[in-house]
Amino acid sequence: MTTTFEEEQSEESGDTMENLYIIFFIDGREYGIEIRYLIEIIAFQPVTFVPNLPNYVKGVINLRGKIIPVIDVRLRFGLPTIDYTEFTCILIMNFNNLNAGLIVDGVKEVLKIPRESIEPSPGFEEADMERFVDSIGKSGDTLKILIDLNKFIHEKDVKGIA
Amino acid sequence: MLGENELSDLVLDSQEILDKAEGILIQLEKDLADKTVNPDKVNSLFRYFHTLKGNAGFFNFNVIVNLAHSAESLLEIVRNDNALLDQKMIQLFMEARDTLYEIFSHLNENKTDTMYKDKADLLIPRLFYIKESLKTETQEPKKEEPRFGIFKKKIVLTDEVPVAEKQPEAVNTELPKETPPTPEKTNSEKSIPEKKLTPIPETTNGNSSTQSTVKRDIRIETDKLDYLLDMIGELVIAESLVTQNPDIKELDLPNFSIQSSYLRKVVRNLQEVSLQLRMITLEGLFNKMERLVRDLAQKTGKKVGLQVTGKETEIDKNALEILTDPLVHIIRNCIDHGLETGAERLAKNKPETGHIKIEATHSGNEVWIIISDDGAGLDRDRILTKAKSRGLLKEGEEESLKDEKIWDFIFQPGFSTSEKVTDISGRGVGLDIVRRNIAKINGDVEVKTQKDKGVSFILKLPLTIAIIEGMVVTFNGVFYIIPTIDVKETLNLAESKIDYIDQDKKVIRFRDQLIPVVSVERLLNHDVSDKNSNLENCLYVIIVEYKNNSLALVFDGIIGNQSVVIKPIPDYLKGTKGFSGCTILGSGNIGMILDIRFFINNYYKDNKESEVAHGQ
Repeated sequence: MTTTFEEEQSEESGDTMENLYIIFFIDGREYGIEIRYLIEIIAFQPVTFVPNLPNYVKGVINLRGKIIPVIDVRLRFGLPTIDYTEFTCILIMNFNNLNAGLIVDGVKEVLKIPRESIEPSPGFEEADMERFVDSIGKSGDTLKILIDLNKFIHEKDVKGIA
Repeated sequence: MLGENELSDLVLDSQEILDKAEGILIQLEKDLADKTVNPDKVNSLFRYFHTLKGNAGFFNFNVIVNLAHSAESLLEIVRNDNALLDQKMIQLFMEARDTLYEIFSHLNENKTDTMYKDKADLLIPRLFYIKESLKTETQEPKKEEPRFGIFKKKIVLTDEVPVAEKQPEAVNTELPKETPPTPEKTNSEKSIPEKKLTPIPETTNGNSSTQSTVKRDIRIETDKLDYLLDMIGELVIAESLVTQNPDIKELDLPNFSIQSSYLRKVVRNLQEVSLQLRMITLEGLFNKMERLVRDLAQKTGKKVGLQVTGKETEIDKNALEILTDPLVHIIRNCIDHGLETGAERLAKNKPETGHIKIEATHSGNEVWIIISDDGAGLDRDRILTKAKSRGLLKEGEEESLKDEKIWDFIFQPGFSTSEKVTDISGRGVGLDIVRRNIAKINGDVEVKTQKDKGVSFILKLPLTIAIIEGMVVTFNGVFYIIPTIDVKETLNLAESKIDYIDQDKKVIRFRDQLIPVVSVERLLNHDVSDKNSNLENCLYVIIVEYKNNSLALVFDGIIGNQSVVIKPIPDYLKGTKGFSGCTILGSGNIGMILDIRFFINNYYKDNKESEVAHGQ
């Protein structure tokens, strides 16, 4: 049932971006974030470390003159980091005029998930990740964990931003 | 249906016009006191009200139209006979102007002006009444006196000049001269169709202040401007990445070098021009201050003369916005507390009229705005008493204090030595905020005073808040920028030695002074400890100083002095203290601009607290 990115693009011009999700990998699982918050996807580039930030904020990058903070999604989920690979991407998001980049293991596709295929989260064992989960999207026989970007960006960590 | 944009354009345009009208009214009031009313100014004022009426009429804002119309019709008569103008009228015009301003300020939310009908109806009959009473009077010959140059700004505020007193002045044999139409006239009329205004009546004359209404300005969203500046900043980096590319470094390319140096020049020029886009003159701000002085003088019943110079000085637009509140505050203080009452002044052998001077000048890379009065000056004893009562100073400590340190106490929160609290000032809220606001734009406030000679507040502001002169340094692979203004000295650790007091406390001897040595990471996060090993790679120490407190910061590399474009900290990191901004360096790397003053204040505050804790 999945459509490719190109198809979606052509559809998009006449259609809305509703129910479209950018699907990415973290630790082998598939996650989705509403595509209307996505500005662009860039290949991983070195991040400038800034002292005294919450550990999951890796630092900042220079995106064509704009300085954008970068969050490592693995660290945000309380998972161990891995070495960045050629698939590692940074998703540049704009959420309520706030820019942030998310480091993910890789990007899979843009996917349309109809509302009727979205169900509430059954709950996960990993509490660190669980609190950012909005719902579960079914697509074929795979499940996508849909992220609540507001919580993901704003909710303070135990030792969050002062 | 009225579009959102059209409405906000109308509001912006009208507020601009009303600001100009305010300036003219203030000048007219002065002229009136000097008995030299400039007909051009009356004409301009007439035109302002006329324009407002036309613009508002276009959108059917009838309250505005009626009020502006009443003012305009009264001005119509005054315009033909300037001698009729009196203090009472100016006051009335000011009230009308203020009411209009209020209506426009809320127009964006309200979408209508009907709720101000009652307020306008209070003014309209008064304007009408004066107009009618003037109509019946016979016209008297006018008198023309040489005008004052625009730089002589003197305002002497006395009680209202009654009409009876005014009219004998107007008796003069000289016949009124009809000013010939000036070239500006055609200018101003040309622009009218574009501005959708009703035509200006025949007699309109142009003068320098009219010209400014005709000057073609485009209003640009600051977001777009910032984007442009970002892009130009990137262009500068991209240019050096290309022309200094390692791939071509070894090649001998004479033509390429010539062309690329030309490219560099063009790019640098472009950057310079783009930075000037943000600069505007202080004129609007100073006009507001003139009005403020006038109103406060009336309120307090003190006679105040005001002298303003340097209106043409340009400053960054964002800095200007931040400046308004501090200036208002300082001027209120000057008039309310600084200047004595007329009787007190006479008793001190000073002229009855107090003087306030506002001046703006360039000084190196800074703009200084100096506000001075010739009042009583700061009271040393009272400040000391107050400082002691607030626990800022121990008994007997004042002997060793320099005067500047004492005056500095007035910038402490909640510090007011005034015995009486008035509705103008005196609650002690404010001067601390003045300093904080000015610090926001990397500026500083100083105060100078002499008993019975007066007080001067000197606001030192950077020419632009878009660029900062800074020293680029590295520590643990991170680039930091220290504002050059805070740097006192750079030491090479090969020549000076760090003394270890204990594992966690280090000092360096610098000109017979022991200065605490810390790393940036330690300052940013108290949990980080500066172990000896952490500092092993550090080659340099930079002594920074603010308000006579110093810190020695260690770094492992110094890149050099640079002007860097300040970019705001990303919103997401706003909670992080210690950085006043960030920047993109010529290499494309990101550098963090350190808020040295914050570090120094924090460090010395913390240490004081821990000393107190030890004592207990």
